[in-house]
Order: sequence, then C-alpha cells, then structure tokens
Amino acid sequence: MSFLDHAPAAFALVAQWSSILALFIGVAVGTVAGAIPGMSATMAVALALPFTFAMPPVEGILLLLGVYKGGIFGGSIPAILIRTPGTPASSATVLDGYPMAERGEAGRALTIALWASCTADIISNLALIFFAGQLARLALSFGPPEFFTLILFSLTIIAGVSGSSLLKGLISAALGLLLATVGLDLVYGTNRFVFGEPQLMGGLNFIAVLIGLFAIPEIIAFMRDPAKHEGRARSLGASRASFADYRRCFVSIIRGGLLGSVMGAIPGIGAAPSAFLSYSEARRRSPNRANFGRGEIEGVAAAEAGNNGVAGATLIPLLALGVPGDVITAIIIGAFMVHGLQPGPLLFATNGSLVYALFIGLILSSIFLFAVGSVAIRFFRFIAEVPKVALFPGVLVLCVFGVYAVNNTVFDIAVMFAMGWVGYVMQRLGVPPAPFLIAFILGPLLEDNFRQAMLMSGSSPVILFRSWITWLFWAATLFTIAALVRSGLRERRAARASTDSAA
Amino acid sequence: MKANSAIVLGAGTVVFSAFLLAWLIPNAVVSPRNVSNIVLSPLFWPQIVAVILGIGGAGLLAVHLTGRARATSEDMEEAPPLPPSLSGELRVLVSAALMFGYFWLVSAIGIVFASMLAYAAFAVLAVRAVSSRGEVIAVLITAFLLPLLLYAFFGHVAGVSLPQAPFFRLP
Repeated sequence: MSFLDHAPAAFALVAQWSSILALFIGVAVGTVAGAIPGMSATMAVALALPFTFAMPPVEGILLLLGVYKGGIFGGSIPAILIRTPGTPASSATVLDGYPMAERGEAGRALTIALWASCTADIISNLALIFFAGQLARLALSFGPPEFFTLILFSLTIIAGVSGSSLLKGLISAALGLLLATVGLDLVYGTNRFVFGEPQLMGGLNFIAVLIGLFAIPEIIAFMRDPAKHEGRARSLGASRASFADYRRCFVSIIRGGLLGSVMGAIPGIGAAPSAFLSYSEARRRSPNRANFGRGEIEGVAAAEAGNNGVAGATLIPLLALGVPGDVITAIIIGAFMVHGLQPGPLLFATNGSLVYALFIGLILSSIFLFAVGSVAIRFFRFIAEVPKVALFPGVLVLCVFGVYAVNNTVFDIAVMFAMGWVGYVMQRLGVPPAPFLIAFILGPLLEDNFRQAMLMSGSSPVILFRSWITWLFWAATLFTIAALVRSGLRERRAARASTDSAA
Repeated sequence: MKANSAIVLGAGTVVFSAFLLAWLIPNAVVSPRNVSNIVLSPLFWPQIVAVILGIGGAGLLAVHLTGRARATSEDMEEAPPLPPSLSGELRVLVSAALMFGYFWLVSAIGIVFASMLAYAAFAVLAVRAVSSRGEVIAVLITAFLLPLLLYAFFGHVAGVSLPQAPFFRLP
C-alpha cells in the first residue's frame, strides 16, 4: 500500500490538536534545550522520552521528533553567539557564525541559519517520504543473513566515524554488544551474566542505559567544573539576513540538504560529518572561498543545511530497516518499543497509517521550526542565562523520575547511575558513547539473526554469502574498514612528518 | 597524557577481555550440555565479543606504544585533556557519594523527598564555585517545586506508582 492509500487515515491521526500541540511543544523544547550550552539534542530527546509513555504512539513520537528537529537547530544559536556549539552537529557553524557575531552580524547569521535549516529539513523530509517506503519494500525480501550483514555494516560505520579512533569505537561497540548479552539466552533460555538477580533476566533496561550514558556524564562533568559552561553571549546586532542573502546561499543550502539526506540515510554517520562536508563543499565551490572562516554567510548556511539535512533522512534506515541512523534515532526507537511497535519493513505493512502520519508531522515540523526558531533567536539571552546550578540538578531529578517511570522499579535507577559512571569514564578516556548505545540496541538483533542463519544452514557459514545483498554489505563493510584504516595511517604519517619537520 | 590514557585503556581492555574469557564467561553464562554446535551455544556470542574487545585493546596498545614518542593527528584533533584539579576531582567523588545516597533515599523516604534533598545537595556542590545569592534562592525554590511537579505529572497524568515516604503520603 502506498502513501495515497494511507493518506486519509494518516491525516486523521495528525489533524488532531493533541498531535499538533505535541509536535509544537517538541520543537519548542528542542530548540530551547539545544540552545542551552551544556545541554544537547541527544540529552533533550533522552529526557523527553519518559514523558511520552503516557501518550498515544503518534503524539509521543511526534513530540520526540519535534525535540530532535528543534534541538539540532537550537545548537546553532550558542554556536554563533557564544562560540559554544549546543550540539556537536553545530561545530561547523562556529567557523563562520562566530566571526559574523564578532562583527555585529549575529542576527544575520542566525536568520540565515534558520532559513537554511528549514530548507534542508524539508529536503530531508521529502527524501524520507520518497525513499523509506521503497527501501522497506526491498527489505521485505531480507532474511536473517541479510539483516546480519546489514547490522554488521552499520556497526562498522558507527564504530569508525563516531570518534577520532577506529579502535576506541570498536572497543565501545564491543562493550555495548557485551552488555546486550545480559539476560536470558534467546535460543536456550539459559542465564547469561544474571548473577542470581531476577531483575537482570530480561536484560538491562534500554532507557536506563541510554539516559545513564548520555545525561549523567554531563552532570558529573558539570559538577567537576561548574564554571566551564558559562559563556558571554554576543548581541544580535541590527542586521538580519535578506532575501538576497538567501538567494546567494541557495545552491549551497540545497547541496547541503542533499548531502545531509544521503549521509543521514547511511546508518551511523550522523549530522556533524555531514555539516563539515557541506561546509567544505561550499568553500570549494564558492567565489568567496577566501572569506570562509572569517565570517562568510554562505559558510553558516552550508553548515546548517548539512546538519539539518540529516534530520529526516536518519529516519530512513530506522523506519525501513529497523536500524537507527544515529544516537537520537536510537533513542526514538525506544518510543516505538514502549508502544509495542517494532521499526522495520513490516511496520509499513502493519502500521502504515502511523508511519505516514509521522511523515506529515515531519513536514509540519519544518514550519514550526521556522516559527519557534525566529522567536528563540530573539530570546536567546534569557535561555542562555538559565542558571546552570539550577539546571543540572534539575536534569538529574528528571532522569531519576523518567527512568523509574519505565518499569516502576528502583533497580533501573541503579542501572542508570552505574551506566552514568561508565559513560563518564569513557568520556575521560575519549571513548565515544554512540557505538556503545547503538551496539547495545542492535546486539540482540545481530546475535539473533546470526543464530537464525546458522540454524537455517545447519551451522554452515556459507549462508552469510547467499545473495547479492549479503555480498553488497560484506563489500561495504570491508571497504569501510579499509578506508578508515587508510585514512588513519595517512593522518599518522602526516602528523609524524609535521613533528619531524618541527624538530 | 593522551597516549598514557590510551595505553591505560588498551591494557585495561586486554585484561578485561582475558578475564571474560578465562573466568567470567565460563562462570556467569549457563550453557546446556546438549548443545550440538558451538556456534549455537549461549557461550559463543559473549566469547566472540570478548575476543573483539581483546583485539581492540591490543590494537590500541600497539598503536600507542609504537608511536608513543610522536604526536599523532588524533592527539592534536581531540580536545586537550582536562586540567588536573583537586577540587574538581573531589567534587566528582562527592557527586558519586550523593548519587549513591540519592538512590538509597528513593527507597527509604520516597522519590519526591529524596529528589528535593538530592537537588539541593547537588546545587550546593556546584553553587560554591560560581553562584550569586539570587541563584541560591532560585535553587531552593526549584528544589522544592520541581519534584512536586514531576510527581504530579508521573503520578497523576502518566499513572505511575511512585515510591512514597513512610512518614507522609502525597495525595
């Protein structure tokens, strides 16, 4: 069944004041949270998740998608005004946004950032609408060997690009896979790492793990150095971006939106690499390339288009294959699970109206983002001045209530705190948490598909090479590893050469 | 400093991998005796993951031991390590103690009162360094109101049964 078949029911789901309100609140909360230095879109989505448990699925998921979209844009506001990216995805925005703010053109930088974000967001949403259904149809022919190789490929990319070191990414992903084995064995029902604790039989609660991993380390880091998160905001200045500015940046915005859509659709890459790629492409092709890095408006537009371009596309692998495209969609998968929905190709067949309702809501979210973003830019000073001594303890209390609410058990609070300290140690050692979380989510799927494939073939590994799809994913996995090792070696050689020449 | 932390991580991971393979997996993973094929055994997957961990740790160790004297681009790209701060590390330790206390208090005096105390304690921990008198008052008001608001939402809107204090039951 196509979009047109589901359209009436999907419109009926979205066209309710509660759905629209949930989406609007999500965008507003996400924009404000993304704009607060020290908070991030990931943290905002994680904290909003428990509030969606009591909502119907469409409203709950729309709220989270709104937080996601708002959070990604909101991160650009402190990036431009106080040189502190609200989210890692906004790091490229700092390069030209802050120099513009120093020149008194912060208002101009922020308005072009908003327009670029909304345009790229629409492109990304359209990519989702056009391609997710097609991919889901293709994925219906996937069996366990195909899913096993797909998940392996996704984990390889996530481990490779999440941090600066492939090996640290590998260690992080392996730890996530290990944690995912806690509980009853999927085939024999025997205990694995249960240690006599009945609460561990069902495995660790995913929401406790993710909140522990992404919110608690930030609280601990704040407690270590409370003064670190303070910053002085530049004034907006009198200037605003004009339509002529938008027209001048239009090609870079469209390119950034398309690049973001392609990169977002590949599981694991995420918004930050997309923003930098869009920025470097804009610099390479722009007649004003010499001005990049010194406050070029096209640089801000390209970076923002690149990072917002992934926001819809990351949902393509999530909805079509059941594989989260980045950490935030990994959290959003939690909202699906809580409501008894399993993202993947079957979701289009069993809950088509819900999927298409989300698509319609996403288009609406671009309009809300434009409205909320325009207001947030003006009131950023108030957002930035939220006292951090009040904010971070509040986040902790929210985490405790939210995690308890999932299963009504204090045990989950202990899991959250334990994971928080694991996350803090990982942060201190430079180990990226994203591969950990995504491997934790995909671990049972990876193992289950592997064992099903082995059961189908009588334990012959040949089944893992049975079709062109498995060959494609094996080739993509090997290519990714080779490319990552090659780029690592090249960087090492370059660093050695520069050290030698300096000596 | 950076290379040292990578070496510690690499060595720690190798040791952990060996510990998993030699003791933890054989003792903490139950496998039926009639499993005909090792690939389908409940032990197989944790063992594979332990081997991957070992490879990752050994690789990290090898990379940083062989290139220890020279700076790599990775070292230059990443944020500089946190400056040593005795008061900072002390605050981290106090945070750990407060989190443990918070967890214990949730069962002992209920989630609302435990949250009020935890909020105030964490705010006091951070307040010493940077805050004004106005912020302190704002913190105290929030410490009282936020847990009550969350209780109202989760308890009455979401229908979650939250742990209550034995001495005072909230409506």
